[in-house]
Amino acid sequence: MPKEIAYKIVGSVLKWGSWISVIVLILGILLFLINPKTDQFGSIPLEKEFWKNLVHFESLALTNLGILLMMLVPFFRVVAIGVSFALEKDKKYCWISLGVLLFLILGIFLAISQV
Amino acid sequence: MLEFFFIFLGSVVIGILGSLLGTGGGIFMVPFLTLVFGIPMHQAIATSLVSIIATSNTSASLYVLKKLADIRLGITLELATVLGAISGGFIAVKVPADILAILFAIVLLYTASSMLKGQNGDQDSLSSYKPQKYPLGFLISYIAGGLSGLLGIGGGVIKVAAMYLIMQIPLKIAVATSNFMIGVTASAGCFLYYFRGEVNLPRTGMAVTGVFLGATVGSYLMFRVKSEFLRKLFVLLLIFLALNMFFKGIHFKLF
Repeated sequence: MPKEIAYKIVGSVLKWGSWISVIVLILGILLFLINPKTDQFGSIPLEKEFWKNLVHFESLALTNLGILLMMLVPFFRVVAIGVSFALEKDKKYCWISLGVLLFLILGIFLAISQV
Repeated sequence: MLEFFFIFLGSVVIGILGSLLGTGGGIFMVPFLTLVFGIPMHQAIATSLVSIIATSNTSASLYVLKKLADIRLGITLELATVLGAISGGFIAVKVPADILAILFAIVLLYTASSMLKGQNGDQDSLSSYKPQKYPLGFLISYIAGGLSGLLGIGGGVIKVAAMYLIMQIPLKIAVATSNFMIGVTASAGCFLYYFRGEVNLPRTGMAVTGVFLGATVGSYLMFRVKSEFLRKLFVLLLIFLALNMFFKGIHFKLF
């Protein structure tokens, strides 16, 4: 594996991750501005209602999905870093990325468990 | 309706500043939302955390692709920050938060004066640098992680200053690397607010769209402005933050 492939992989994950999230988000926001609602919180993906609304292209569900995707990009970024260091056979940094990833997963797990 | 428009406009400016300073702009976003729009603190923090992630994702994508951010340095210091954030919650702190805030304000002012003098050599040559005093940088990032929970500030400012002043990293590399990290730090805390349902969707959507635009502009500007300018901008940020911490310490409310 050529060195520095990490930069290409990680950079692309960041670039496409943020573009996809923002496009979904803007779609939701535009629909919301056309047809504003008083409820500004909607439902979270752990609730059935969220998915029902999403299928119907409901504005807040789309906005929510965009925000969630944006929040998941750091997670995928750390995964990408770990994978690219594995490809570069850089053991030390592979372990470091794995450590950060474990803490991130722990954070998400703790957040869900308190709902 | 007008509120959404102004949140968007303000976020564009915050996105530009965040991507140029490596701090994500949380220091500006929270007061902007609470003082200007009277948004409750918890919601403001939730929105701010999501926008920090968006700023980081957007600006770091360019910084990484152009190899301005140092991935190895970043992920190592990130490990220290995450460890600090977790253990900060467990270790009972004997020093009250207001005294801590005042002490921190003094450290920030000292840092500002060191930054003002600048670092040896040509700051715009980015080709050759070697991180110095790695253990000390690791330790400071660890403390930064702990402090961010206690004082409600992101570790970005501390990490940029430590990388630049102690590890002898060129300022632009330090800023880009910090930008690359803060998204990961913010995301660790963000899910807590998200699953509690404290993310106000349209406002956060507006803020994220704004910082996305701002950070895109900011990260292009990064390659055009001189390090000298960034250094002065950063000194202003440190003074702003020091005053902020000082007032917090003496419980003085401006508004």
